[in-house]
Amino acid sequence: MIDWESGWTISVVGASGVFIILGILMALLKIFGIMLQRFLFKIKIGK
Amino acid sequence: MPDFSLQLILSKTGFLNLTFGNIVMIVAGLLFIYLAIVEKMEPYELLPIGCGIILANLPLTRMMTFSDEVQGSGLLGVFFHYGLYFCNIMPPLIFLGLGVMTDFSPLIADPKTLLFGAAAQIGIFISFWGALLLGFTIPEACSIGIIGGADGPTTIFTTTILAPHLLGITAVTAYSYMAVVALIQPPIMRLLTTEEERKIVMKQLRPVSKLEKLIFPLMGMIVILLFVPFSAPLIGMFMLGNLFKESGVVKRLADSAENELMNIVTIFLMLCIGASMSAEVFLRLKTLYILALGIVAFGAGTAGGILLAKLMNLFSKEKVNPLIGSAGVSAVPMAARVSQKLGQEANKQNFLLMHALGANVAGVIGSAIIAGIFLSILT
Repeated sequence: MIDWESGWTISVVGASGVFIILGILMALLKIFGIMLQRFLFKIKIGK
Repeated sequence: MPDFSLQLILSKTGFLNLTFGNIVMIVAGLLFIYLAIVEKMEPYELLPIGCGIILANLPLTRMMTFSDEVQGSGLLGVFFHYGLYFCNIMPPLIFLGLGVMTDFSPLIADPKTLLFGAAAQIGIFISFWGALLLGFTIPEACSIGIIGGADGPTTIFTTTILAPHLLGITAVTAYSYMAVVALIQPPIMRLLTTEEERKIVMKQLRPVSKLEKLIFPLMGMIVILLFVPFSAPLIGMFMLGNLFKESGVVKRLADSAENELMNIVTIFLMLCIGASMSAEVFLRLKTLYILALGIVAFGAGTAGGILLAKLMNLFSKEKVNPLIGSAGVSAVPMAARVSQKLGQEANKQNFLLMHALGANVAGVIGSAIIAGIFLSILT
């Protein structure tokens, strides 16, 4: 007999988990990328 | 005095102990070797797997035997027991080498490709439910579903823990379908995209600084493992390998991880995988189910990535070529090459390879995360 409850738990946690984690990484990369580009730009201006 | 009767001598040869199942499996092993040598399909994996199948199915070789008695274990039995079943160290060691070989630059330059790596994992869950409906248990269904991650070491790592009796067939299914990803994906990609969408030209990726390349593996490792500690053997080794390469200060370690270590582990891992495919395990109806679910997983993963790209195009000013979404299924770098090839067919000015590689690498990370989630729920 299919264990529907466990199946749904695994599916929902797994599918949403991978989106949340990779979404957070994406956001961090974007923020970090912007910060770095501005920082490097300032250094270039300073030079 | 020892008995030298002809009957006894013959009984100690393979001839009298050969079964029909053994013969079928030996032919299957020969087929894998043929595919590796003649068709050049994943030769580094399929060649030792084919030899492993033959070795395990030749009677009385005892190659896969494992015992505590002195001289009681076979060569592959020892590797299988300590390298996989008992400690499961071989897949993470492969990930260490893969980390060295991976370039995160496309992913860092275009972070939204991470989402394709998540969307393409939908195939895992579709085949997971397919397996449940076909009567597999939940751990077995997770092991079958993870084939959709299109990542051999992740499939082996997960199956070894959750359903070791399915190890041979899930690993072989994953590697076999990865080898023919160029045949599986294009029809689905053409079906789900219009000619206009395939023609979309994506702008060249920005250059990525060394600092970004150094920070990403550390940041990725910390963030992912805080959420899913059970992914540590895979993600930890993957990011460590990448840090070896990007740091530029441990060239010998990077070289060893990428070449000697990875090659040695690949030999024994693949031999063990092949040798775990005995006739009793392989020649069952469930094998056909797993083969079918594997291809469903690959197809659904391909579709998932493409559909997310199309969805993003509805809301974003900067259009994404949906062909890069299919590369989120991992299968590095074949899936990215397929995206590039189809993009160029539609528009000669289209260079999608780097964008698709970003999705490709994200797929590797995504499938390792899901493996960790499965393990954290079920163990």
